[in-house]
Amino acid sequence: MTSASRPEPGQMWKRDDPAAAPGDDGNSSSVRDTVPPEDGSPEAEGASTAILSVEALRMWFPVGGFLTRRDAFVKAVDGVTFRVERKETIAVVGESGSGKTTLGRTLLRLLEPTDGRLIFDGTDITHATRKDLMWLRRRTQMIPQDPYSSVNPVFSVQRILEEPLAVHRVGNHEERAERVLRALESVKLDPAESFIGKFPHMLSGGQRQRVAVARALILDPEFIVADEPVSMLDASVRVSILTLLRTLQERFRISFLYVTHDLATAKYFSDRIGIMYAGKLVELGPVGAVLGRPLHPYTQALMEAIPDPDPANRTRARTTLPGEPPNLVTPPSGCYFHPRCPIAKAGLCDQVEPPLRELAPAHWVACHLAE
Amino acid sequence: MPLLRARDLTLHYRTKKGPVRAVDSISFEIEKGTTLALVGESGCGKTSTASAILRILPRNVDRYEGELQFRDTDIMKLSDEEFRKQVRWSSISIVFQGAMNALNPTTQVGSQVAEPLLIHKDIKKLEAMDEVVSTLRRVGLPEYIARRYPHELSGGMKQRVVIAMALVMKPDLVILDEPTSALDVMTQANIMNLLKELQVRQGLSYIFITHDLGLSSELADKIGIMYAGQLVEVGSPDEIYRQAQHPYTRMLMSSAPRLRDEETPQAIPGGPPNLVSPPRGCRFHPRCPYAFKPCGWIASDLIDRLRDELIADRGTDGSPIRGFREVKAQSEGQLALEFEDGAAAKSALHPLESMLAELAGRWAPIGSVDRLSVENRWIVLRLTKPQDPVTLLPAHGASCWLLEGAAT
Amino acid sequence: MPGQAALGLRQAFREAFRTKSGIAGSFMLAVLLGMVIIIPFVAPYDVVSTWGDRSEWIDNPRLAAPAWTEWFAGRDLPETMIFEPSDFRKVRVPSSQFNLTFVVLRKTFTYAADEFPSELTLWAWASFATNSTPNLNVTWIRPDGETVTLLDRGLEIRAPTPNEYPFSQTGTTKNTAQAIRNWALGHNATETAPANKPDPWTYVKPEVTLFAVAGEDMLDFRRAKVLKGEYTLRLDYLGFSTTEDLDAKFIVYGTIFGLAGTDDARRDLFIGFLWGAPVALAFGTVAALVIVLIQTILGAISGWYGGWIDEIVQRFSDGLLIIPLLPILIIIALFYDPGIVVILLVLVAFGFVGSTTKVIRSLVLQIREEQYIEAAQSYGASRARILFRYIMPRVMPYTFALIALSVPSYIFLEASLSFLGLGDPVLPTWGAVIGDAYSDGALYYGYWWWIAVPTAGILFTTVAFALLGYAFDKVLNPRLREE
Repeated sequence: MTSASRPEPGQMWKRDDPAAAPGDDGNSSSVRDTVPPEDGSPEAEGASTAILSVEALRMWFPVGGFLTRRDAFVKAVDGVTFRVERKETIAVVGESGSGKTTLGRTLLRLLEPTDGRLIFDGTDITHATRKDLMWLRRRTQMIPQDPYSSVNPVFSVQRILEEPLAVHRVGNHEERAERVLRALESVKLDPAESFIGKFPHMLSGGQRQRVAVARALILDPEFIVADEPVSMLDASVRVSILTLLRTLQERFRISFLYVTHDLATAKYFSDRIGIMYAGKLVELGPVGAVLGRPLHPYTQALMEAIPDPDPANRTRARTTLPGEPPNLVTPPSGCYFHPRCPIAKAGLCDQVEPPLRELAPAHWVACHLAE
Repeated sequence: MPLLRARDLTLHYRTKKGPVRAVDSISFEIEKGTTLALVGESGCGKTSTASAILRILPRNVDRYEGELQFRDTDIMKLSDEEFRKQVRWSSISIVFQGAMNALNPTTQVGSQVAEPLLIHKDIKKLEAMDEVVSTLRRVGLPEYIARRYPHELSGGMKQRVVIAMALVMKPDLVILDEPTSALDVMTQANIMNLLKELQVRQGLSYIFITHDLGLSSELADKIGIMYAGQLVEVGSPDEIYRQAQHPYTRMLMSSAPRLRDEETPQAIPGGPPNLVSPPRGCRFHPRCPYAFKPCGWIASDLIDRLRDELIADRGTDGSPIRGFREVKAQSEGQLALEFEDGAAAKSALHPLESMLAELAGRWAPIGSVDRLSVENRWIVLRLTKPQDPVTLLPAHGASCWLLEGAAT
Repeated sequence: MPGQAALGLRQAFREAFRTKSGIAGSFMLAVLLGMVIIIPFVAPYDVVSTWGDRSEWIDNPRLAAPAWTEWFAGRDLPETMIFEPSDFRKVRVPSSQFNLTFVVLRKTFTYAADEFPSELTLWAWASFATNSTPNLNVTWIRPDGETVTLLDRGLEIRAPTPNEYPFSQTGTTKNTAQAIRNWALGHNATETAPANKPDPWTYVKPEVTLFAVAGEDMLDFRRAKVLKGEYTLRLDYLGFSTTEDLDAKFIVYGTIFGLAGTDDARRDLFIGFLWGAPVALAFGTVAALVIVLIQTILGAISGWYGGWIDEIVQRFSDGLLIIPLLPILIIIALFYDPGIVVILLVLVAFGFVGSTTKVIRSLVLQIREEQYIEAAQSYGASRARILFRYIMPRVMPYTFALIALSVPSYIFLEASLSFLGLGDPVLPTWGAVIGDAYSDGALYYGYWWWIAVPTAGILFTTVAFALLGYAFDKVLNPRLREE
């Protein structure tokens, strides 16, 4: 007779820890050939280790329809400068209207910048034409947000994953099938064979996002923009997807731009955090530094606004910012944040745009008064 | 006396695949002026609970029953017409998920807020508009907003309009179904502040439905954790956030990345269960790392692993278990191992017991084996009968066999 | 939205054919195709020439109701009796002595119906010498023993051509009619011709009087009763040479015929019905297929590429939507007398943008916003690839639904044109048959089957395609609502 042993609560059952990075399999993930850019442009002087360099990037959208011509623009991204290093995750955090999604799409050259420069691995891609960008399309990828439309609902999983290979004419039929299976394995959709024939509506939200991740991986990219990949998933599933992304980053040495509005997940999955407000980068630095000692008043307000499960929350009002995010067509003068800022100084903050200053090692803040 | 008391509230839907047990016999109480937070992931039944309370039922209802005592009336016993007149909106109202996007884009928001008044009370539009303006003020919107159209308002303002709509008839209880899900963090904080203030000033009671534990702490006086259509734990904020008893609650707490915490979040393995045929016994047991004997395993859960182990054992030299042929599931609670003959079965009994005991250390489901007996050339394994621990909830606050004194 | 799937074409088809309306629609479509298939076996004519040629149908009664109406009539209705020359008993006696030829033809038959025949026609063929004038005497012998001399005259020289002697409705010779009338009046028949008419014999109906019970009602087709029994038609021929001969063919036309009755030109309407099916199906399907496909592709391109392409297509579409198609087709038909292929081409020319273009464009605009489209751009898929491989499969189920739903409109359009006499002049389309029926006052006179049969054809086809379209719609629409 088996003893009715009751395990002690707290004695966790040993399970496969999804966070544990699997050892590298014998053959290194297929040769990532850095296809040289076709235009033969020379590498930038003093080639940095950064995979992507963003300089004074502006993305302005004209307001008005086909027949009306106006000089008004929605300044979605208004002068952003930073670098994405190899094998790092930068989180870009902001609320809706902050420009973070537009930034992500511009970095992938899905949009052509209105101003500024974009340099990917030494090549200036700012104004490259569609044809000239095919090589970029192999080395950069995106993971969309909505599990219900991130993958083609009419395609089987096999077809969804094969498409990027077909577009770039990679491998023959067998090689592609092999790559598809390996991609599914690396996103922990096991057994891979049982998934290739399925259609998205047969999968859960989390599984669909894994397919989207697998699709992003299948061309062995160096840089991935993940646009809120978990915000529409259940809380308990988010962690597993983010953990997966961390694992994949380690294993394949990919750089990520993680666009999100959720500071807590940004803390879990990023090395550096950039805070965006009204199209501008207001703070940038290592995760621990920005969240441990936020210097910009907006960052501070953002952190204040997010509740952790604390019984004390019930009885106190949360300090919040007054007002609304600004109109991106006619933003405020000087610092865009000054109308809502608790410490704004008249005569300075409403006149002069604050530059990004390095107030601590690698910790940049765009505020006149921060220190 | 509690403002609302639910006993065995049940709502099942009919589907092609069978009845979906969306809300399965839940019971709770809300005192006047307090908030009950219903927390759970998508598919746990929290929105269906709101539908059940307000009797907003789809066409394919399979079962709808239970007791709902509001003040001193069992509102489940009211006719649809009586319910509509006396309860819905005038006593209990709701802010739906994504309601701000469901505002009529062609009508001024003031008229939309006035609608419940015009439907329920016999008053003229002008009188109603007075009431509308005062309600808008209470939710922090100036009077001129009444004449605006939804597309002219920001997300936060629209949500305040929707809250005004829920308050205009001055109900006692408001159900808030993910009221801030589509809003920015700042706006969310503002709306939560507003809801707190309204509760204090007007003595409102809330049922606050959310999947976000952090957010629930903003309003909750009592928290109910829902899983697979059942309430698995109910407790005060201190109890739930600091000393949760149910494994699901604990795993839920540790699965969300925390801003002010350094703990590494842990995902909950597996996925939400099928509500047409949920797991036997405790619905959470397939995903629970602490599951043990009474939690609900049945023969089909055990058979493959048992067979593998016995076949592997058969291959080893000097194994004391001889003559094993095959294992079959005879019923949900019974497995039969077939041996070559009666003698082989008899001699395999004790070694088998030891093997099972050892296996139980590695693989919990074996723990559900209750009794072994030899019958001719079979050894019959009888499993513990799965029992749903929900009955433990009223007494212990959580429905789990792990609780002291709760195990069978 | 959880659990709802957007559908590819194959999945949509499979689901559509599982719905009740899908099954019903496909069944009906199968029936139509079955009709088309049995045509070579049942009606293997060269339909074009046959339908227009009156002589092909001469053995059929005019305006006869379908045979199965007898069930509802509760009485015995007469079917057509055709007596070929070989059915007659012939006695031919040439006399070289007198240089004469006598020929006697007799046919005895039983008439047992409760109603009178619709028509009687007698053909006689005589071959005689050019200079002579033979004499032909036609006698009618009734079961009640009465005999009526229908004809007794010399034949004109027209050898050896057949002489047709219809003596029933149209072209009844005055003599025959008078003979019948006089005989009837002599047997107490009440005069039915209005008073003071100079030509009372034109009111005689031989097919009634010759078969009527003797009495005062003999001339009154409303009150006369049928005399059932054995009748004999006898032709006595006297020719003035020895090489002459006589043959006759006699038809007692009934009032019922076949599965669908006959029309004014004695055409078997069932054959017309059968022959209408392939025309309707072919025309409707081809028109719908071509036009909806063109509009779909244009709508998709317009929605996907946007910009000036979109503007142009939209303006064209707005312009063409205003143009009323039927009046233009009428004008063209009046001036150019087109065949069915030309009508089709005109439809396509005016139909390459239309409401489908707008519908598909909206659909594509919606699909365009979905995130996997943007993801595809990020892995380098070209715009053409995205349009044809990702977007079109989502669009095709709607296209099919629209095709199925527009087939009836094109069938109607063709039927309308034919009805107005402006369609293809030679094909027996359902619309053409209805047109004939209408212009001959079919409903006014009570020849309901003439209109009912082709109308049933159009209705059946319309319902078949509407059910198919509806099946697709049911499968697609819940998705559409959630999308």
